[in-house]
Amino acid sequence: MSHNILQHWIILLVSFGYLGMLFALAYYGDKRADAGRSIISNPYVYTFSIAVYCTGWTFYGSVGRAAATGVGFLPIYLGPTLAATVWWLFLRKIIRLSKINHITSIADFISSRYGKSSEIGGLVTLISVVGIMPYIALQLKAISASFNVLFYYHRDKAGELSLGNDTALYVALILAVFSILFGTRHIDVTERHEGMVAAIAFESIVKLLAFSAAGVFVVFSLFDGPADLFGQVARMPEASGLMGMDPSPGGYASWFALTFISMTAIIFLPRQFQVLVVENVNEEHVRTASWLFPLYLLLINVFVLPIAMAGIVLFQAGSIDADMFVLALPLETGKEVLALFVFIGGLSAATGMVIVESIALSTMLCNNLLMPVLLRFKLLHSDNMGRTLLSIRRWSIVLILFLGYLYFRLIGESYALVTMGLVSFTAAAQFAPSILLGIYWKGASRRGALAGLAGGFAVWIYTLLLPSFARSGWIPMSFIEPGPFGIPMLGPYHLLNLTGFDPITHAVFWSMLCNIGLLVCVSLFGRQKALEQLQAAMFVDVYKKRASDADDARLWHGKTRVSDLKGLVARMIGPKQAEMAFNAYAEQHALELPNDALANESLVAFAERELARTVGAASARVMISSIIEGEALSIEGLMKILDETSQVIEYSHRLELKSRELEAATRELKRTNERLKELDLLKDEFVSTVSHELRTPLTSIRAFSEILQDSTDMAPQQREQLLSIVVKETERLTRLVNEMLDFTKIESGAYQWAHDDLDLVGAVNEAMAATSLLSQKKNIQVTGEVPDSPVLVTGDKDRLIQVVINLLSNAIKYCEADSGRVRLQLSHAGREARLEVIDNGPGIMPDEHERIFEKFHQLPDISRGKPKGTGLGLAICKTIIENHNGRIWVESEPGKGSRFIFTLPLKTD
Amino acid sequence: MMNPEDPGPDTSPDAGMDDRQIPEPERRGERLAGLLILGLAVLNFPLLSIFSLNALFCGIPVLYLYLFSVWSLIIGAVAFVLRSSPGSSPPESDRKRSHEP
Repeated sequence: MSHNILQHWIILLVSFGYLGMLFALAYYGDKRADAGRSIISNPYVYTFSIAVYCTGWTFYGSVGRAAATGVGFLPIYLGPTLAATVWWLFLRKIIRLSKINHITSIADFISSRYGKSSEIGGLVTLISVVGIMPYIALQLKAISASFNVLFYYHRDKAGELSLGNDTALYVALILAVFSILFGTRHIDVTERHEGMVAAIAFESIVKLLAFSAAGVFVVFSLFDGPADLFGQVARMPEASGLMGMDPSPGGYASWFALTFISMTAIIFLPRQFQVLVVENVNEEHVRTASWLFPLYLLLINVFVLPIAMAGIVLFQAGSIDADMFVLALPLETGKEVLALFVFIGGLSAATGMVIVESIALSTMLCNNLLMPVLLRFKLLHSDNMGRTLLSIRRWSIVLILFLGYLYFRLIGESYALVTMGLVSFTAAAQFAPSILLGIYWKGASRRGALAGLAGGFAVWIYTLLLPSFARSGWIPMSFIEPGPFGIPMLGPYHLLNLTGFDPITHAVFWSMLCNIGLLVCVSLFGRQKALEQLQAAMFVDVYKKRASDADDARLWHGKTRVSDLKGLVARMIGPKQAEMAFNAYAEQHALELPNDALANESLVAFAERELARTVGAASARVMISSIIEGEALSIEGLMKILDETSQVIEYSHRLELKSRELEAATRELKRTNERLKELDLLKDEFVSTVSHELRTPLTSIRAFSEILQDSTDMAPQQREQLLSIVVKETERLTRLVNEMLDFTKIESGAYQWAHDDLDLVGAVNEAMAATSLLSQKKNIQVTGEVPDSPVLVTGDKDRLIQVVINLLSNAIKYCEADSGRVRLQLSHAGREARLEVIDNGPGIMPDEHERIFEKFHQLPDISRGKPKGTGLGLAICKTIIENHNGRIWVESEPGKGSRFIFTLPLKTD
Repeated sequence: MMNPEDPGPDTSPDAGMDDRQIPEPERRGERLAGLLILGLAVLNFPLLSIFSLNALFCGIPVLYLYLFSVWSLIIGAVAFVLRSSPGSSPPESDRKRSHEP
């Protein structure tokens, strides 16, 4: 006994010294926070504080699990790694929501989402307290077992059992005191505990270093590197199976179930919610934590399997509990300082968990379970409720640790560490559906959440909690096998005869089915109250629209005085703090707040938020409504807010539509404007051409008429000649005016088209006859080639003749006198009639081919530079042909004559 | 987090209006979701069963090596996707929040 340096008092001294140092660190952290210079406001402290996830379970239990199932311990750490990949998406949203609503715990969060319901807050608290009980028991077991191993390893092991239980009680008491010191020192109870965060971040570093030190020692000192260690294991037939997957039934299903529940546990365990969300200083820290925290997990797990295997190789099977390998290996080889360091690491892991968990749970117990009850039965009369609150929280911590101890006394001996932890994980997973659906689906309702949580919790109790009582002897073992009342179908490990799963996987499946199913179904078939709808919209759309103070304000309808409000807040957070808060509010809004004035709606909302920081949203609402006269919650105000929100969305939607329409209209207008400008230009040219055309004949008519008037003695022959010129010029005028009239008539759409069957051959012959005079005058030969059989089309005969006349007269007009040749061809071309007018005139430039068919467009005469027509002839032709469903175009090259072609569909029978 | 006035990384002259990149935060979310799905696939049945061998590779059990390699790769990928982009604005909420009691 004397050769052992690890005396009782040394271990105790080091342990208390370490805890004292933590407390000093926490104290320093709080002081800095009060001074406004936070030491935890950086992503690394945030990450290390999340590592409170690694508890006595990780430190001792993982090794035990690895010794039994190989890599089976890993899903608990792979799950959080996978969850962390999308923290940036949904954890940030939860943090944002919690900051806006001054959320103090996970129970507060869920109750806030579902209409600040105190029933939900209470249920979540109940699930947490009962569900976490095994987890706290696990820590107590880890600490007391490690203490016993450290102390009794080389001593007489007979006394272990009797003292072991006592150790756990002492540990529970000491931890209760420390948790109270860490978490409930302040009078002004708020949701943040900077000092505690600093302390657990430090603990996370200590446990990582301690475990890694043990790992390095085992792998490189006891063995000759990993290859040596694994090589020895490979030669042991009973251990080499650990290198593959868990050989137990449903191995992969269990792997998946563990991954799933640890994905949810990393956020929805009350202590994880506390450090990840409530204690978060800045959303941006999530960016670093998303990869640094998984890296921490990886590092602390690297040596788990090697240590487990080393234990299997070095110890006789069953001589040492595999959960304690990490401590037993250094002790076995006489490295007692290292063993002490490892013990401190394990102590860090377990105490960190217990401190944060009990603080988080006590906040929930106080705000969400006890306060609503006390408020409802009007049991709170103290002037300074802050003190009452603090003592409630302190006693809650004692209660929580006592429950943990109780569970340990009952169950502790029969369960391995990890199995106890998994029971708690499954309980925490029950929160996932109501939170995740709650922040992405507005339809999730209060009743749905209540039903889902209650259903999932009930299944959990039946399939995991009651069987553990059965094992402890409280309930007969026949409850598990074959099942209650001897009915196998009701067996908690094989409900409805579902077999092939281990108990945890089985419980996860049934509880999740029940939880999600009830949440979704009840939500789908129920109706939400107005406040629920408002909270749901706010939670889901937090990034789109931030609820303004004005929104909250309109919810309060009744009357109260400023002094009453201030008094209420003062009772919760202390008179001095309340005075400061109200003064700050008055200053910010540039208001005077005389005590006897009526409080306006926004001041009431402000007071509610101040209270929510301390007692949670649900209790704050109850408290405010207790001092407001008249109807507390204004339904009209609520409906207005909801209405406005939907109206704003509607307006913005319509506005978008309008602006798109406007854009289209603008484009259309621009195009039209371009076209109009072009037409305007053409019109100007046309007017000048027409006036020129009109003036020329008018001038000559006038000139010749004057000559005739003045020269009475003119020879009759000469007089005859002059008169014929006047007649010809008048004819030209008439033609011009007729063309213009025709065109405007057709263009305006007023013209009545005839639909007669007609023979194009006849029309062509008429047109040729009509232009024969013109061609004879210029001595131009016009030849026509028409088929013998009739070419029948449907249309307006006069107009079609006009088209042919226009084309022929154009051709004649542009041909040189005497040498000009014009040829007309009419033919069948498939289902169309095709007419060509070919001349040997000057030809047309290719870029003019399209434009000559436009209105008012005139072809500059190549030889004389003066336009010859009105600019309407071809435009009229085009309009007529297109009205007959035909096409008209020109083929021409300068100097090689032109070929005008049109086609018309043949008459169908 | 990106300032909307910031020009995107693609500033080549012929980059028309329609070729502009989707804003960074959106892509980031999609990439992270993709990583989650990939991670779920590679860390579960049946891929795991391929590596569930009773054998050593370089003196280390194959399954153990596979799990830790995949794990490191996922961590690296998340760090890569979430690296601070040069265009992101400094976290203005940092100062404000840290003063809250």
